[in-house]
Amino acid sequence: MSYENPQQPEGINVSDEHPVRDLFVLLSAVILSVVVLVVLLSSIASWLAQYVPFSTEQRLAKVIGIEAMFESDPAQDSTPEIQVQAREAYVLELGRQLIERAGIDADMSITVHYKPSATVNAFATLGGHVVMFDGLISRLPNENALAMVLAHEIGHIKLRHPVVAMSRGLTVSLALGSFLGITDNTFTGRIVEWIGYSSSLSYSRDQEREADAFASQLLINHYGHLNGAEDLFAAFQEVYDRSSPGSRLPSLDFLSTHPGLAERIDELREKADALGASGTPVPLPWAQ
Amino acid sequence: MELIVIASLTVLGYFFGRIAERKHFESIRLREIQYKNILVFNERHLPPGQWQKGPLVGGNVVISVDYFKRLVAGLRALFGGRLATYESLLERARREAILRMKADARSCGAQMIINVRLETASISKGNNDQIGSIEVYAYGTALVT
Repeated sequence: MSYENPQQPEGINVSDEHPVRDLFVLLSAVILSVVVLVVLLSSIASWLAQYVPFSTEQRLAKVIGIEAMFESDPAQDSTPEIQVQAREAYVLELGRQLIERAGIDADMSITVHYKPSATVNAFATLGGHVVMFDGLISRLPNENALAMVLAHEIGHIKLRHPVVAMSRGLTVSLALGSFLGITDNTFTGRIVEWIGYSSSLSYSRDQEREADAFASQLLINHYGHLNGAEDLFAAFQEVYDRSSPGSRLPSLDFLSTHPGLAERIDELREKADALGASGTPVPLPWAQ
Repeated sequence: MELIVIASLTVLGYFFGRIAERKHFESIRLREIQYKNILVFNERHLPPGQWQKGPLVGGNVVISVDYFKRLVAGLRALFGGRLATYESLLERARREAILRMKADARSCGAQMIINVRLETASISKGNNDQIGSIEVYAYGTALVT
């Protein structure tokens, strides 16, 4: 017997498959499975969330301490005291009228809060709380635009969006979190997390669309027309333009929690055209 | 932001990793021809002949994993299957370690190495148990006439 060292042919130990192709196949498979998982879990979670009684939601809001979020904070408050009282009374009264008109269920209660800070925002949260910031209110030219904000937030509560969003959010982040826990590769974890997060954003945009549709219907019922409602989006556009002057960047709808402003204005106009009725927006006592 | 960092590291890893790998394989093939006359065997027993000395010879190599390979490996770990990006890495490391062992043997004046063993270790300490770099150590008994 003779011992020898023959040259081993290349390609026995190393496969000649292109690594980039390998990466794309794997990446598509990961994206597909994460999206399917997020969609599936989100649908189950939001379907179950509608069975959470409103009283439970209120208790939950108390446990989380959500009220602290809209307690008055003198350090942040920028509106003069006299103005605060007048605006607060006005906003709360308009809110009361709209809630009455919306016809909410007997077990549900909606509380409107007025916050005299310069933040340009309004939101609805767990426990039926609607928070209106003076920064947004002071930018609105008429009552109809203010009613559009209020009705939009009331819509969120009536359609149980906060509890549905929380249920979805917790389920998806728990699922992604457990995945991050079991994977030993931080890159893979980050990528999966990002895919999961991006695919769950479209749900929040659906909620905004629903709330917009609810709000415009409520405004038609209340005022008989939609004139002035659009001014809300104009106010947002102005703030947006001011924060990034000169930039005509198209907003990345895919990566945003809200649909684009142009899209929301279009939907409102379509509805107004279909209605045919028009009227004069109600002026606000403090607006010139 | 984090995703941009990952993406650029991956692209960098891919290009630099590819260039380094291609050059390394070229150099390995060239040196394998140069060291062809030093025979390597796994045999434990001495072949017949007049052997004067039998020193221990060894060759050691450490190769770092690039981000691209690590990313593909991480994704592959979810589905299973052949880890092609690590296969080429280990192949390079093993062949390089054997070549360095042969260089050691040549400096001893040997023509043959018997009882060759290979040890592989991954250096991952403090890095979340991820494979940061791999070490391959080849060693055996050189036979000098």
